[in-house]
Amino acid sequence: MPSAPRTPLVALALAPRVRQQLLTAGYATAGDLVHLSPEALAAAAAGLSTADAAEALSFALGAPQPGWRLSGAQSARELLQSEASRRRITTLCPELDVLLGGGVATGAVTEFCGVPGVGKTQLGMQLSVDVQIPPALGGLGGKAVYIDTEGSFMPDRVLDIAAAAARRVGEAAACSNDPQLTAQAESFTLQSVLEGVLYFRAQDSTQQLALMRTLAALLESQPQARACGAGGRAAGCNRLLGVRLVVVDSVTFHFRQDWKDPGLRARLLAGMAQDAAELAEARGVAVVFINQVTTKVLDDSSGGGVLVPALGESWGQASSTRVALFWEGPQRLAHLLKASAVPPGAAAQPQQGAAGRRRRGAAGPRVAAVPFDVTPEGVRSAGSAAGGGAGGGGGGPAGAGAPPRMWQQQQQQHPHG
Amino acid sequence: MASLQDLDLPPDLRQRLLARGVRTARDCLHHSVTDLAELLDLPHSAASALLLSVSAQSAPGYVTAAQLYSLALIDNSSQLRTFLPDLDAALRVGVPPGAITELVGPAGVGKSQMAMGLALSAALPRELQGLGVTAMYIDTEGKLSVARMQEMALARAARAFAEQPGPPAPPGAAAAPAALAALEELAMSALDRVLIVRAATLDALHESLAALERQVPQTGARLVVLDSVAALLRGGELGGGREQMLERSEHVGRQAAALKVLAERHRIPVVVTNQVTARPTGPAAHAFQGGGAAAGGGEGEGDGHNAAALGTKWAHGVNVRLVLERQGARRFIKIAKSPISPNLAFEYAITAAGAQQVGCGPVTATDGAAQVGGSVLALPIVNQPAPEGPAWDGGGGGGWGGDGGGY
Repeated sequence: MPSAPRTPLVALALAPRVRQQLLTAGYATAGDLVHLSPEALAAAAAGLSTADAAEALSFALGAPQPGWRLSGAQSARELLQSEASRRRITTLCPELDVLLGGGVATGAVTEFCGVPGVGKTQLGMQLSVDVQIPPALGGLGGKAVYIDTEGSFMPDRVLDIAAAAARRVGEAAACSNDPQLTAQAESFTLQSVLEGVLYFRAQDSTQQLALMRTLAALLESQPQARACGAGGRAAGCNRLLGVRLVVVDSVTFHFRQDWKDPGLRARLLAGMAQDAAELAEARGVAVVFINQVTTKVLDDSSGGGVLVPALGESWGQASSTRVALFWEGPQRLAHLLKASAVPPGAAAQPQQGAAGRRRRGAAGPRVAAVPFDVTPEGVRSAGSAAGGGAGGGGGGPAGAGAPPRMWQQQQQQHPHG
Repeated sequence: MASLQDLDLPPDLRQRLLARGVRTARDCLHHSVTDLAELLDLPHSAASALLLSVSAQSAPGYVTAAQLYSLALIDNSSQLRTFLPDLDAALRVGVPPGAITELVGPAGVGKSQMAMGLALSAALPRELQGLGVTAMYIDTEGKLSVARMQEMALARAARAFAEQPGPPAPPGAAAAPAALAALEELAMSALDRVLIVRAATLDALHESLAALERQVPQTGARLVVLDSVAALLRGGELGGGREQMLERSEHVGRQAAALKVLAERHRIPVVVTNQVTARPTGPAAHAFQGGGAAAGGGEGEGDGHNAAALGTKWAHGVNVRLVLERQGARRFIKIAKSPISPNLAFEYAITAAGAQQVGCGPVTATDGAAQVGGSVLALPIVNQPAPEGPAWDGGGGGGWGGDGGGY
């Protein structure tokens, strides 16, 4: 796709010196250059090396320019198809999966935010296990990159979650009576799951920024996922292939203090978000950002505050799907704040300030939210721990009550799944 | 912070960067590719390659979770126990190394008792179920009592003596006092391994925290206790206006980050105590939840419940939050946030030897524990002292609720 001949040289991503030399030599547009050889151009512009000339020519000829976003435009139909072929990573909590439109999307950025202890890290660890489930059994058979900024990642806990997931996968395969599925299920071992999580600890914002910048190269260096067809039933497809999930837990921690220049912070965050979105799109990986919440003081002189996702308004653009995890009494809930794949109505914010909703416990649906639990086995449907009961006492003894009516009503309103 | 001198870069590029005031990897990564191309007069591709090279040299490498797991197994032999067996079991590795564990509760519930007990657990020799390592104790409230610590140590020696295998010595036999005395001598050796730092002002605290970076490797300390993190931040030093709130928030964030780096760099547990505060406007909630935040009294009266001090930002910073609360004569400790354990509550009592478990297994709401699950931010912390006020559950010795102290 050559640059339009009339594209002015100043619009090309040239080094300033090269640009100046070309302009000085009398060239003004890409069209002025394209018929020249590098040697001829170097000879014509004073001080320009052949290498500089070659690079200038490649830009003029329309080589994909780094930082140029529109170079690879796709038709809406192409986009639709790639959207449909996107595999999703199950959370192993059906209600959460429905909320997310079938699981956490690959090829896109998803954010989970919530108060401390609500289960953000649990969900991150859960997804790192789930992404490795063999393709024929509903997973992606891919590896996970886990970028830990808070030091909360616990390999012991991943082992628990993996053991429970392996049991599930084994049961599903056994029910199928399909020897191929059974073989795949058997390849999903605790050892392979633990080896399939690449754990990075970012101790400060510099390490975090550096890591995010090198991710593309890291993913390149891993065996590729595309070797495995969509069906995934072919022999040899039971190995872990390529990274399909990147979790950043949390994206927030190193960006919450010691930033004297809010503009710089915003710019770095925006750059990180853009790189993540490109990485997700180009490599078909799911990027999961875990975000903290912050208390925003209300202006209404009540002295009260509401919880909002941290990192400010513009960070809201970082993800295409955004989910708030929160508590309602002893129950954990997930609420869709933003979703590109869902009709606007489904993710709509309830109107603010309705007097009837100002009282806690008021009857009637308030918000599109689904309940979930964090059980000894990992993230599961609400109330599922009461039946299982294995391990250390379920998801919290006080949390066993039946979920209020509003959730059931709200679930039915969801159009997808 | 990696200086450019430590990075492997072409010398001419390094010179150009330094000439433009880019001195560290951090400075460099704060530029976009386009910025760098302009700043250094480089082709886009060269600027991009430079940034990638600096990133690759600054980014940490990875380990697989499998490798991490085997590292954690080695750690298990040196896990710090709370002496509440069920709590230790729920936390899997006792008080986890490489992480911040917070003890939060009302005055007099036993936070300092628990903190002193943990310092002892680290310092006691292995013969007395300790780790035999050095513990650093930063005391900002003057609540550390060495006399109380000595008492705890001796009580643990006495208990170890009583639990010794073999037939109990007949009363009055000469061997018994000698064996007990030997254990007591061992127990007292623990006090040599608890290093105490007083920090009475915010500046002093910052200095002590900065000094820890040096002192922890120097002393070989395997535990850092900070009792309490809230006292100085909540005290009058910073005032209560909006500016001060922001400043406090900065302090809190910096403290969380500094403690976390310390914990991880040395693979040691960091234990901090935190106070409770009256919830100003009811439980914190998202706007979409309705009710919640806006439902409070509005006059700063609060809703009659207590919540952990220092707010949302700090709560995000701690890895494990243990809430201590009191209902009448009974005390409960709840796991309110943990990457490894569900929310559970256990009953404990303060005895001569320190905190001790009451009963078996987690308690439920019907056993008297208040709400166990629920938002860490909204979780009300119960404090209903028995009418006669805080007292040592075992009698004698007087008020050990943590209000006393001094040396």
